[in-house]
Amino acid sequence: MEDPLLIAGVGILGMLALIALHIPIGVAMAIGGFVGVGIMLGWGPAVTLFGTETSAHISSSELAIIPLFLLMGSFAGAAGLSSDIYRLAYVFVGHRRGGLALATIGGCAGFGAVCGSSVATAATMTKIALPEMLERNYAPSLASGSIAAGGTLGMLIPPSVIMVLYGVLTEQFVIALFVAAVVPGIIAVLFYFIAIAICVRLKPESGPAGPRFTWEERRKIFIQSWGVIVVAVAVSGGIYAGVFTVGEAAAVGATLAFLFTWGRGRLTRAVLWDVLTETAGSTGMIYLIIIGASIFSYFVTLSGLSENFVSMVSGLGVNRFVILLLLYVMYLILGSIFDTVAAMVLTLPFVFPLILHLGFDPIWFGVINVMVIEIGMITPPIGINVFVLHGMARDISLPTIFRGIVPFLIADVARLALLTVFPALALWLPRVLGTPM
Amino acid sequence: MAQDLTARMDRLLASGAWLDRFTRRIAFIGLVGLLAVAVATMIDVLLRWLANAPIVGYEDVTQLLFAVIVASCFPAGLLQGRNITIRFLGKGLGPRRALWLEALGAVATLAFFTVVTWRILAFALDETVNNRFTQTLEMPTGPWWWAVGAILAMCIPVQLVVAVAKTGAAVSGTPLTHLDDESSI
Repeated sequence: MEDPLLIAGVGILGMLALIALHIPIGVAMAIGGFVGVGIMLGWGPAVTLFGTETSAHISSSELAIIPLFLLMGSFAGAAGLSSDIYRLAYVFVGHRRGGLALATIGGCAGFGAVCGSSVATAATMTKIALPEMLERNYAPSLASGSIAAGGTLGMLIPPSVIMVLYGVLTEQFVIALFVAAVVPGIIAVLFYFIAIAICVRLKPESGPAGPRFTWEERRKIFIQSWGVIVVAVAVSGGIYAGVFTVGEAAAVGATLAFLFTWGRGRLTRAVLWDVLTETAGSTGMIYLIIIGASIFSYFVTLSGLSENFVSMVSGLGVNRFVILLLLYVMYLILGSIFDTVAAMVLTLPFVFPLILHLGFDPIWFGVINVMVIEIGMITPPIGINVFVLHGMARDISLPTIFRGIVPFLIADVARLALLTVFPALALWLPRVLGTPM
Repeated sequence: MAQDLTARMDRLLASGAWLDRFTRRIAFIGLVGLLAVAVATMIDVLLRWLANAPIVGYEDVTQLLFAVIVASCFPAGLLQGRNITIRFLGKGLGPRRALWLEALGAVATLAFFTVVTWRILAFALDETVNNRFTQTLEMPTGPWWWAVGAILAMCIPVQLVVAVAKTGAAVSGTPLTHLDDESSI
């Protein structure tokens, strides 16, 4: 078996077979890459990869942004910043029909600005917003649908852990990705608002209006929520104003969130223990996938499969938007089956060169890629956000949650179409701000 | 005898058992280090911004410290079953065969961490033998990588316990009671 492409094909199939056989994705990718490189270059160089790739990645200051953002999100939750942002959104829109669902979306977007993880946002909001909505007789479908869909904003609204990963894997500026995600993030929130407004117009009993707050009460709540505003402004403002790098912003955010937890008297030994060990678990999981993916990517690059894949697809003479559409479908399926990180690292070695070859902007595609995978996270049959929510609220059935997601899914598809037709919606802000791209 | 061993390993995997406390303690120490890096970074930013005097050699230390911090996250992650695994096939094949697939996954993970540890220790030896230093502070890098290797080496017995327990469960046909795979799909 001398043909590198044949080896690559067998390697990929082997890796997928290992994944199907319950082998953790990171380990399966490492084994697939190791065997492929072993056949092509010999077992000595192949085994060396385990050392070089691991040492390079665990000491990478670019990747260290990920545990720092995870730490920030965990402390933000422990400090009660998520409740603050939800309450803040609630006093402004809670009196409208569907107001609590709107507040949930606003809360998710706000918490996304201090968290960066989709699942964490969905889980946090399930604890905070779901009991409140059910107590006020919201339809369980609308309540759960708004949380599962709103959770995906955690990944899109900067800072985003998955965008850091995309930036590192494709060698793009993370800051450019963050800036490019701002307008799509705002559009996402607006489209979700519209989806909720239509839902409650069609079925008014699904989201009854709450009491109206006075401006004095709103002002008080706004002042009480200063913590989350400080963290969000310090992190995002610091990045966009060029005061510090993304890594420094992550460190500042983690420190501020820690200080708020401490200052609010919530930093018990148990909380510190939980926050740190939880962050450690997520960090280990992500790094294992990154190490496996890097060994696998080395093999794919060595085999020349990416180049051949690109020339094969471009040789078909199909319009580039048709190819893009097929990629969307692929990512929707992958996003609904795999974890976000896994879906991205598995495909980027092939997809990214193709995207460049087709003439699409890599920063724009970064935003699109995150958006499509994130849609997959609420798409049947799996949709990890849905399962997280169902795991925490067992009395709401999966079909009910999926039914509640439909309006948000339509909003997501509309947003995706809009950004595909008008890439400037993502690229305008980085250009205006002169962000390096 | 096999059942007895499985039961003992299963108890070892329980949340709150000494192995769980031990791995969490390693992670805790590592993440306290991460928190310290975060605070130091904030001080570095403030010093640079206000006094134009950043911490000298900050990059040197943090880069190596990150390696130790990340390594410290692996043992607890392994014991908590925090690896993303797709479990469609097992669900389709039935519970008994699923247990065998679980055992296979655990053995493959054990092999992975054994090779990674071996290569990192070889890397540490290489750094030490060649007397490598950091750029600014000229601090030897070898000891840091030995620390990384030592932490990674702890993953081997941890994962060995997981693998033995899962294999025992597959042989006896009784699912483990204490290992909660948190990241399965």
